[in-house]
Amino acid sequence: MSKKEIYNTCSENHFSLFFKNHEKALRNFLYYKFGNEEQAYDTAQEAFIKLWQNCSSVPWEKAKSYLYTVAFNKSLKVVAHQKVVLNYVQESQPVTATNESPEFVLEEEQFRQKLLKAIDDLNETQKVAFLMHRIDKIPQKEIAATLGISVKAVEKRLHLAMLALKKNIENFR
Amino acid sequence: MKEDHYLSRLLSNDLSEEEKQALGKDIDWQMFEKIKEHSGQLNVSQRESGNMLQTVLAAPKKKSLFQTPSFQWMAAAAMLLLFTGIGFLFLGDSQTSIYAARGTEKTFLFPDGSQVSLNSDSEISFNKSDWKENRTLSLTGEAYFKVVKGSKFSVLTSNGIVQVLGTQFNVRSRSQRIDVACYEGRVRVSEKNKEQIVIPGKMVTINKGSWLVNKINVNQPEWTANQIIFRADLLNEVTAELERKYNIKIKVSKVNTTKEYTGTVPADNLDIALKIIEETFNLKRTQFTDGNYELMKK
Repeated sequence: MSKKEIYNTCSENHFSLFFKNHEKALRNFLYYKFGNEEQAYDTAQEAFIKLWQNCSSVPWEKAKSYLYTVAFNKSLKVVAHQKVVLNYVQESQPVTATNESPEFVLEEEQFRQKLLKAIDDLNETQKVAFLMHRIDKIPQKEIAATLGISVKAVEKRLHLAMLALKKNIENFR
Repeated sequence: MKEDHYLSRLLSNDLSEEEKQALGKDIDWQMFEKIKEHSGQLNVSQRESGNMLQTVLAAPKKKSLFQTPSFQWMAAAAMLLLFTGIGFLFLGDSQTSIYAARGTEKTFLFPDGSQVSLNSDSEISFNKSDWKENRTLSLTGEAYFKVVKGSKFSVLTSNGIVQVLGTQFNVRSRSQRIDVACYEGRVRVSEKNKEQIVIPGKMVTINKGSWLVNKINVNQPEWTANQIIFRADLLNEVTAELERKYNIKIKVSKVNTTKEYTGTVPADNLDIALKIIEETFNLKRTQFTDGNYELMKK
């Protein structure tokens, strides 16, 4: 059950594995910040390149926080931030779907649209933390480690995000 | 509740029963629950990473250390010593094992480029040093393999041996049953003195010694696409799989059923998964804190 493997950032195999595990979440993280897919893609690539180039001085355990720090620093240079476009997962749930009345379905749909708009109106720090938690399902502890802030701060951002979302949604009525 | 960020605990399912009782009375509470539920189904569509990895790996590595000539000589000498040391190590047995804990999945690349994805609570172990000559590993649990063409690739399990040359296949070996599904190439399954070749689109099941061949109609195992599939599984097998996948505990009390379930449930939405099981087996759940559930007759 123990992990005897010793990982090395400079090994192409290990690095590829690391890349596979973190590439999607990193791009999402940058996308939440920029609202621009291309920009997120390019910045993520630059961050991975920097990690690869400096692999000999970055131990495996530090690789993730190094990656996010580089990406974060690069993101500061991006000036124009755009709207983040989100959508909902299409779920096939024939079991429950049959029980729902058309009015209910319509109401749900309206709520979903309001929620998207409300998320868009969040400030950036709250939006990033909220979406990392809700979309990438990253635990709060890990969000804290990734962003280099305390767990308490993450909790606060999520809490305030929820309050702001509720207020925004009610204002749309 | 001044500096208490209880809404963050709502999002991570960490509210205690008392808190839920107290907060549930709040008129705003339904709204928060609704935000939580719907935001959990959000998604962003990013394009595939394409050749980003290749671009990254093509970038030259910086060698900040060992710049001066004397350093290079020392490094060379050190490397020589190191290689001698490693040479001795290789003479011994160097077993490597990789384990995917409950509630997680893991992907691993072998030295030859073959790839394995481990489902929750599954482990493989193999000898890394002579991998190129002897591609043999032992598996407990479930794994999906993409094997690069080359010498024989063998998977040993307690329920049988699976051998291939280069293909894509899934092996699931839990309790006394093994399922081997083939997605590309040919796979040979043997148990005791019986053996069978599995072709793409087919799956062989050996359950307590009896063999069965079934059709499959997907391009990759359901579990790698966030689905859990059951094929004529009893209730205790169903709950065991849910426990592994979601890292929770399910107690089944006072239920005596021989009903078998065939179908899929989501691997990323516990609520829906449990709902399906409840409706199928006519059960009702009670939730305790920290992912402890009890299923009872309705």
